[in-house]
Amino acid sequence: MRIAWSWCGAVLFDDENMAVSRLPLDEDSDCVVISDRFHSINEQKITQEGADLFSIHPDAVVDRNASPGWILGFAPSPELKARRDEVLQQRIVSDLRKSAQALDRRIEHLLCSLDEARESQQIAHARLLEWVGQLLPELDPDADRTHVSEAVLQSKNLAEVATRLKLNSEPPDIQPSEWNAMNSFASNAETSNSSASFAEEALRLVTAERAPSMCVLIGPIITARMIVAARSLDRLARMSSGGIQLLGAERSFFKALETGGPPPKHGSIIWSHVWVHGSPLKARGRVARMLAGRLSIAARVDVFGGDTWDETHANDVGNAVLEIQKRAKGGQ
Amino acid sequence: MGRGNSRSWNQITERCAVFRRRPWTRSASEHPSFGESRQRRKGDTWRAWDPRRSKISAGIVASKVGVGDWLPLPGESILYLGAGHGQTLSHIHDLTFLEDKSRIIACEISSRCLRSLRSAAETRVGIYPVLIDARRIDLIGQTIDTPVDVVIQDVSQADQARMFARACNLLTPSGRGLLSLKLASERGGMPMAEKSLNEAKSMIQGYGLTIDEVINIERWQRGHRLIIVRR
Repeated sequence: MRIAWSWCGAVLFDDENMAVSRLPLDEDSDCVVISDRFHSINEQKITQEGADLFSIHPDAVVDRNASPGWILGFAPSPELKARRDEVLQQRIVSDLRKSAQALDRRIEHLLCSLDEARESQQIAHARLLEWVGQLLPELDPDADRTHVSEAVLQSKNLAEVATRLKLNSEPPDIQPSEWNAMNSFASNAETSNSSASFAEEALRLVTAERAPSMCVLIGPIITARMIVAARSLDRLARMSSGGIQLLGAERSFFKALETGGPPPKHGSIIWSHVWVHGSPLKARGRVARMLAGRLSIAARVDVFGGDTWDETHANDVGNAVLEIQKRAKGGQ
Repeated sequence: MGRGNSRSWNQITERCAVFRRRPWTRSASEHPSFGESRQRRKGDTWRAWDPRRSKISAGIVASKVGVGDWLPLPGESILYLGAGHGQTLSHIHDLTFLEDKSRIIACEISSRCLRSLRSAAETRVGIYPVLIDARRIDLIGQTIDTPVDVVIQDVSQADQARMFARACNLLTPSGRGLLSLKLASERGGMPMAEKSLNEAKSMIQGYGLTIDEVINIERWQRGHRLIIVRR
């Protein structure tokens, strides 16, 4: 005896695979009922009709998964099918809503917008430094770029830029349109700067909400980089600590495997924390390995639950880092 | 498909032709879609189907046996696993669209892609996007009410062949299956390509399906084969 089920009903088969008893879904079922059946199927749990059949025949074996309706011989009415299609649409909308809430994707957008805004700001600053230096040769080529760009933004013409930068060069005659181009380019840099600051502020908040334990250890920006590199916090929490240690060093790791050379000690992301790049060369591998181990625990705490880490954990790790650094120096 | 005669318009079926080494489909929708080349012929709009962007299109150009044997026909119902952004899907819709009859179930797990599919479904009648993992064949079976004529799968992940063979349970007795197999997706990477192709073949045959043709589409799609299967 076997019970097979689908959204539109359940069937009891005997040992010769003949349908003995069938319990179709009520023709007048509304979307709420159909939605409940689909919820059960999605969770791989038996539907209400199947459970009713099972209560009458408790010795039957129940199928693990739903079967297509036509295999069980069900022919739901067009109205019922239309309601089923409506339920499917509702499920899509609610799934899309759920994924719109996904913090990991939002962290990715924030981090990428932060990086892109910073990049365009730096490019604009470098361009302005060269541009102003071309017109005012007395400008120090290694001058503070931000300063130059601010001077262009606040001035009304090139002569005023020279005064603001305290240069005694005679500005050449340029077209007003050329000056306008330079001035609006400087405002571009300013806009990039402010959007990068907004993105950074939001990123700190969102990441601290998503992964509080990791943020306590290594700060929100590096945490966000790890989440994006691992493609989600859930995946990060399932990674080995060795994997976390090498995030951002995949190419050199696989090259090491191919050529048999020394494997990388740390990836670029974990390196960007001062505990790693501030350690003596000899200790970096050890610090990175220890930190990656603690990070993998912190990520699991954030995903699977547990007491969120606080400053005492961060201090413990900091002390462990100092210990490793001291030992490395002692060994030299 | 003979490639030698590619300069002339070579009609394969009523709705599909090969011209200049790429397939063209007669558009079932006047809405602009993916920025592909279009041309008008005898009052119909024809859309180019780039073999570098669609494995099925590459399969049409490279197939050695008759394309007409496996190409979806007007009025047929399709189950498409891994519909992506819906570019190939739009051409399949061109081939099958028949008012009130044709039905394409487009399964996709990525919510980003599903947004594209939903906008495609607004302009094209008979496309039903669903947000389902292609491995959940039990759930997919609940979204259709009759067996489908063609199963198309393009999911590029480990265990593609088993997923495909199980999806072929939803076919009619005369149904066909088109599997785009990404060899590098199986464990072991490219050196294992030949082995994984053989494993995929025996997996499909183990489920009682007949393999009609394994089309090598390496020229357009690196590391891919298009496998044509009959129930």
